[in-house]
Amino acid sequence: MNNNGTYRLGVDIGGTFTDFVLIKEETGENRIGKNLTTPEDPSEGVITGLTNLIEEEKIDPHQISTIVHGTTLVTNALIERKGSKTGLLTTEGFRDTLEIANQYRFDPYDVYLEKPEPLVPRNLRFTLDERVLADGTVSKPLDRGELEERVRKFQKMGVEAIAICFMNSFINGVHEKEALKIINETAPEMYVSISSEVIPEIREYERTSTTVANVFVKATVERYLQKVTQRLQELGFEGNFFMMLSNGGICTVETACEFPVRILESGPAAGALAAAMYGEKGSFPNVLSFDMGGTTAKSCIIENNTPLKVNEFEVARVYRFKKGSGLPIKASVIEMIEIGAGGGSMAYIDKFGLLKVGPHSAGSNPGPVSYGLGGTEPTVTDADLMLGYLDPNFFLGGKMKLDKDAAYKAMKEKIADPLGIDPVEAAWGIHKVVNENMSNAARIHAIEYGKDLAQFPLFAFGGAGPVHAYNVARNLGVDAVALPLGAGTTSALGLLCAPLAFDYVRSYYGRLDSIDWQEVNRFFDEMIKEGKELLVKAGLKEEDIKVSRSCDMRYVGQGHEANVFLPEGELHEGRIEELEAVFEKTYQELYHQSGPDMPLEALTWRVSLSGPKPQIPLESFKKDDYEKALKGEREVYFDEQGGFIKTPVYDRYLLGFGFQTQGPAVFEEHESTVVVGIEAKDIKIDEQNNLIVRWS
Amino acid sequence: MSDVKLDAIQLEILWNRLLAIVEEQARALMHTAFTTIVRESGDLSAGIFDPSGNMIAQAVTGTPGHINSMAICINYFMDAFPESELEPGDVLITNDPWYTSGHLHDFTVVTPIFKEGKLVAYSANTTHVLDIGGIGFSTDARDVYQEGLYVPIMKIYKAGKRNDELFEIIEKNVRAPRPVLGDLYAQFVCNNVGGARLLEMMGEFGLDSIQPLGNEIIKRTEKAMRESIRTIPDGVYTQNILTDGFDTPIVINATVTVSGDEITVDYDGSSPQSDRGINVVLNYTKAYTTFGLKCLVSPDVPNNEGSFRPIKTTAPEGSILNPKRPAPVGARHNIGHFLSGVVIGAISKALPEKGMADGYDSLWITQLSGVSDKEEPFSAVIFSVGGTGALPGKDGLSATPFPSNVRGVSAEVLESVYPLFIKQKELWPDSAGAGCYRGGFGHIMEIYVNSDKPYLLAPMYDRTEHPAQGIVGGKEGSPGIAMLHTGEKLHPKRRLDVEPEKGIIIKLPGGGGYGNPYERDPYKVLEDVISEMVSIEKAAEDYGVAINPQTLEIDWGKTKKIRNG
Repeated sequence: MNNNGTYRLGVDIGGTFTDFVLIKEETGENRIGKNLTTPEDPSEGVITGLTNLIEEEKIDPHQISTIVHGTTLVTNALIERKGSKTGLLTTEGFRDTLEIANQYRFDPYDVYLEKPEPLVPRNLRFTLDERVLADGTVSKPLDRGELEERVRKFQKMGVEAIAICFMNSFINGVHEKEALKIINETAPEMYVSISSEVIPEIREYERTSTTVANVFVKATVERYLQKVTQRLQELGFEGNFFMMLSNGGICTVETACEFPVRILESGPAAGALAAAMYGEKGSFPNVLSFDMGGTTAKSCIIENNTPLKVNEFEVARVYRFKKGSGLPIKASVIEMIEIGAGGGSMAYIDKFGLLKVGPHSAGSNPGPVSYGLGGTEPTVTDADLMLGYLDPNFFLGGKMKLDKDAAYKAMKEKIADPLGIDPVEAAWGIHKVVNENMSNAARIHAIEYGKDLAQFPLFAFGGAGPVHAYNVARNLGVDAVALPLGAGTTSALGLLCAPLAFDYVRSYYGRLDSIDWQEVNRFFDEMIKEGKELLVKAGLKEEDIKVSRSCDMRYVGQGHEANVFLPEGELHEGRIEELEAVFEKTYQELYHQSGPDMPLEALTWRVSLSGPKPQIPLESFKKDDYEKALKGEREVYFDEQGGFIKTPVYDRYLLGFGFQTQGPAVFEEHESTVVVGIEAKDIKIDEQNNLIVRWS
Repeated sequence: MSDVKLDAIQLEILWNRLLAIVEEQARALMHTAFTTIVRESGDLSAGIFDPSGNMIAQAVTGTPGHINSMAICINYFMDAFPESELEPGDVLITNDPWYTSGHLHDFTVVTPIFKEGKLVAYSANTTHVLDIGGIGFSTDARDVYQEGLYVPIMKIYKAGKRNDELFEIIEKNVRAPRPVLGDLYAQFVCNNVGGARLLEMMGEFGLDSIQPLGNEIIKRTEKAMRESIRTIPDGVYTQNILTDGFDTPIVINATVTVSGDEITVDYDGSSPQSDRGINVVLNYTKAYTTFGLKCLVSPDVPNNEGSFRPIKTTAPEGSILNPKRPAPVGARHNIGHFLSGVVIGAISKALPEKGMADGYDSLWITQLSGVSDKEEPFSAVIFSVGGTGALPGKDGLSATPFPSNVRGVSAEVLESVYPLFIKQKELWPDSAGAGCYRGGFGHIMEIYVNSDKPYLLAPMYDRTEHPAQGIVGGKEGSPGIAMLHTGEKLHPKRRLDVEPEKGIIIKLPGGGGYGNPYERDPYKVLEDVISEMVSIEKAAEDYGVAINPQTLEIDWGKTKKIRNG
């Protein structure tokens, strides 16, 4: 690309690779880079990759106006328990909140189940004889002497970070703030997080868990970000540096250092944002993002160009795919489902004589049998290879040869012979079963949000997503699939679609007919004012800041709250009916039925402030001659045809806007392959370079 | 199902789809229900039955009380309304404790599913409603009539038309008509979701009937279940325990006979039925019995007709585990929850290397009602759990439910919604039964009511007299304690008016230990001492581990001496 102008850069540190995407702001031209993640010092990989990319493109670091950074660093620190030695201060009588948790067994049948180990062991959990009541009044003041004694004890024990979470501090954080002040004075070396700042939300377990996680990783994140920003400066970078948030916004380095729990899920969030961005440009306001990689498949519901968000998730699960086995984190996050279904997922026959696929994965080493690295169990990739979906000579653009015979042999021995079927039938079985697993998970996910998936075209990416999208779509009864160009690196692009954003929450319980509206307006104004100041400091103009207010409400006595967007303007008694109507509408959408005639109660009030979404002009290239794109033909298996049929194979990079064909067809990229069957009557490339597949 | 062949792949896909359907059914119910127990603890179930009434798939939900009861109840519905009397748009309902899951609070709704006018399946669900009139959720009733409204098996919708009279009867007989009726609607929605998805599946795969699919599922499940049972040595294993009962202890006596690939559990020798609401109908007895066996023997075999066939459970009619009408049954969970531990205890004698010590077993329920200091009436229900039993290679879990799986409610939520002040909710040190693997610790709760008038406490507690036993040399856990904060002991089940200034303290029982405590890794003992969960005295006394109180280090010399006697 022409090396004048300004650029934006996205950097996403994943477990194995660090991905880079460079976009020229004026034209939207983009370049992708990739290098190995350097876990000991992740900034190393970032700087190396960045330097390589800009050298290749012959641009200067000062031409980069903005860098947006996502990382799995925080998540990994929690999974590996590599953080500061952390102590917890809590209210007398509640020393074991982290351990008692929700007193729930996430698997009712497993008597051997392991619960997640708390980040703070009991001997580092101290209580203080203070108390704030449910209405916010102080019934027992904080005792400074007692606090100082506890802190000295922490110091003696080598504690480096302290989490403070007192009862009812979500409604009145006075004791937490006081304690913070005292610790800052008497033990300034300590990292401290207080729950009334991290997440002032009701429910002591989730709040404590979040606050503890926050301070546990604070030092790690701070050290890392200082290093990266310093090295970028040394390179000559003078632009803005932002961190990706779990909820699809971005924030400044200061915010990320203060609230590291908010950047936990930045990688997957970027993928969903990319899907939303392509959807918006391609006139698909509603899509189901479908990101299938080597070990897992992730999906996110995107409606009206906005990914579905929730306010709680889990990290560091004891059992990766078991909900409830992790540490709860209260923070705004793009809601994803993730299941153990990827190219490396292994197939086996279970005790009922049934063919099962996953959740165990052969990973990338030894990987699928066809990698020839010692894998012995047939995987999804092996099945896809046997079905002609993958070209053994063009895997990763030909960088890696796949051994089809080895895959065939393993399939025959391990699956086909024991079941008394043909190896190709077994391969098709694996393909079908893994698709069914993904569709079932998506359906169950959708019903929790009252969505009908038939209305959500698939937006497929990731290494294996495009291979499976066509059959998953058939399974879900969806009539369109969209596939971006460069499906293997779509996620990184999402980093550059994120607006500056900040969220606030406040718990304040009351029935709508008796709540103190003045108080509600007061804290809303306070939160909005603070948020605007923060965003203006980060470089936004005040008039560009979008504010949206919402509230978690429910019918009195119902335990499941629904998050409802509030109308603009001051709230007061006279507007209760209006609020009830908004709630009723949301309730209808969620449950497809109207609720009972009951009063409403509110629990948590939320504000989200965001700047404008950065626009990425996608370069559209039209070519006249698509003959060259046709690489040849190969035998590809389609069940609707009853077996293998000769199928044209296209070089995806040589196709552009205006191209049109119908199924069956295969489109190859370096990192992925799109497979489309005969039912797809209408395949074309749109102006944004997405491959659009329709059934009619 | 004409030409669709059920190979390993097709069956995997259809079976998986069925499990997804019942899961969707259950989620739909959980998300629209009002009663806290339904949503937070999943006290509900959802299932699909083939046209001959065999349950072929059931959602995995929170409490085991529905495991067999759901599968059995359909027979009563089919007797009351044979196929010839059903038409599209019909919905059946009952809360008969003997037909379903053991107390009037549980409504079961069954919807026949029709495809082109032909009955192809039933979808069903059971859920716990907030109120059913009568004396309320309690152990105190003297017969089932006192316990509330009884709805025999009836059509609540007939050909899509609502049975207004029945709605009105329910509405006028319960204390909280809106949430109760709201829950019933949620139940109808739940079955409709299941039905619609099932028909979609049949369309997609070209099935005219799910009978062949059902047969195959049942056949394979039964085979797997029988194979698991065969791993237990043949023999007759017994277990006999005492529980607090109301005023006099209740005996539970189980004779478990393992013979080849079948298990028979007979409760002959258990106490006769009680005149208080702690009687357990046979359906519920079967549920907790099966659950216990499955946890130990075959946790990965799904619940359906096939998994129940190899297990036979009997109890003499008129006994506490098979009471005759009109026995009171409202708090049937109180005794019922012990049954899983009882059969696990019996099987542990056959398979000590897989055995599990007793846990707290029976869920503690604290109900508080009265008028707050702001003159508002309130009624709060608090669920509490103790420690679970130890297993070979694994300590019991602290403050964790088993066998029932009820989620606790946050102290802050309790304080914000009810006029309560929770002074303490913390683990209870030294409450776990010692062992090479120790039991789980119980926990302590101290609760006050913000009121200037006396309030009513309705407790449902057990194991205050009869602690959880250890196995293979493990020690018993601490029995539970219920008292006023002033120290006066409370009756574990009798309702009581409490002076407003007095608080309630409950200490939940600890789990039993596994194996000789002297064989426990001294470092593990030290870990518990450092955590202040085991005292230095108990470390020496129970575990034979001497720990220096100043340095918190193990005194190896002394330890050796104690341990070698």
